[in-house]
Amino acid sequence: MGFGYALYEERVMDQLSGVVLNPNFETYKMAALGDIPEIDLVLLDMPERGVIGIGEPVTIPTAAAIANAVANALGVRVPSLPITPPKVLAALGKVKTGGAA
Amino acid sequence: MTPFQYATASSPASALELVSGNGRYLAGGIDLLGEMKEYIAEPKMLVNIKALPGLDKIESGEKSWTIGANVTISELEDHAELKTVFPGLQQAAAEVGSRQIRNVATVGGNLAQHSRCWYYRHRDILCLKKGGDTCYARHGENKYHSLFTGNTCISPVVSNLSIALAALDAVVIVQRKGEDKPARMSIAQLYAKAWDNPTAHHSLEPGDLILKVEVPIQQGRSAYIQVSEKSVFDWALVSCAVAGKMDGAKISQARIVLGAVANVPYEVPEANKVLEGKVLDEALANQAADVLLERAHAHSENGYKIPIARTLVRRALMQLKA
Repeated sequence: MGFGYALYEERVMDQLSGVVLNPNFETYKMAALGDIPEIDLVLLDMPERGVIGIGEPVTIPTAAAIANAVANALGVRVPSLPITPPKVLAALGKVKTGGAA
Repeated sequence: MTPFQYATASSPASALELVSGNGRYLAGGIDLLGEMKEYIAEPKMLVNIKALPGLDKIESGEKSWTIGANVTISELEDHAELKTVFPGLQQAAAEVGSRQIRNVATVGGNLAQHSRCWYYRHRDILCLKKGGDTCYARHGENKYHSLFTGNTCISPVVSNLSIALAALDAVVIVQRKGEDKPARMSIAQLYAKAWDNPTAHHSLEPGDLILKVEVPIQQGRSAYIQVSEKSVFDWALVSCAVAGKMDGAKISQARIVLGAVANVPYEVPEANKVLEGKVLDEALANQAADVLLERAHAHSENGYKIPIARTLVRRALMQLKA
């Protein structure tokens, strides 16, 4: 979930009519198996914590971690999610914000 | 989906007969069934063409390879010999949809597929392509749209195979109504109408049936690459196919074709001429890309496609050297 949040998932709405243009998984893009890198699992053996939930909390730092990695690779920050090709090119100064040349 | 009749054609002639009067051909159904579920296509008759004899084969001849319209994209992708003869075509096939889609989708269907523009595909929107009077993408959400068009519609051609086949100078064999012999169309001819006419996805008329594709055997090399948002199972933001003959470091008979940037596979003869007989290096590839992209017209959100296209042209041409 955090992965899609960082790189893919975005609701696209026509600004004039308010119609959602990507009400399907073709253009509302979700990460599939081929998109996900190998994941290292670290199990924390902390019986003193008791049983605790895991779900939403892990989605929050994932996008931040990926955004940091992108910033580290590019030398500039991409200021909004998802980090898409047009935004990366805009951050690098190759195109204007919004993608217009 | 609205009700429809279903029939299986046993010959091209019976297919043409059955389809007349608001019918559509059904092969893989990948594109058609999506349109039907969204009420964008409401055919009265579906004509199954999967049983047509001889259209599911890949055959090599002296001068060309023949690929039947019912060959699946997976068969194209997995064909061992084709990989070495036309690597560009194999790479284009491997980037289509997901494996499940490629197992079902056919060559004919890939070439004849309709626009993926999200205004066109939305059941509640009557856009220019569907016979309305406005291209909403022009002043709306257009990050997936065209940099080049000959009309007002800016939805791009999204067939991967058309891009590779254009670079390979392929000929599409089409059976048309009232003609004894099937017509032979270049890829440029197959899409020319979409350049001029906003409601056209290609030049085929209702009832026209793609039978085969002939790919001439060249002494040269070919390559296809695309950039998508996702790593797999995604449409190209921009794709590029190249073909050419390498004589040492020099390139000749080069073809560069861009996909997902125009309503046709986009080619500029002057860009190909830049390369003719010259030593292929990155600087030359950039020169060709500049000529190819000279007339690009970016809209509010698709200008990023220009630097991507430029990079893809360079990378694809460099693959010819290897």
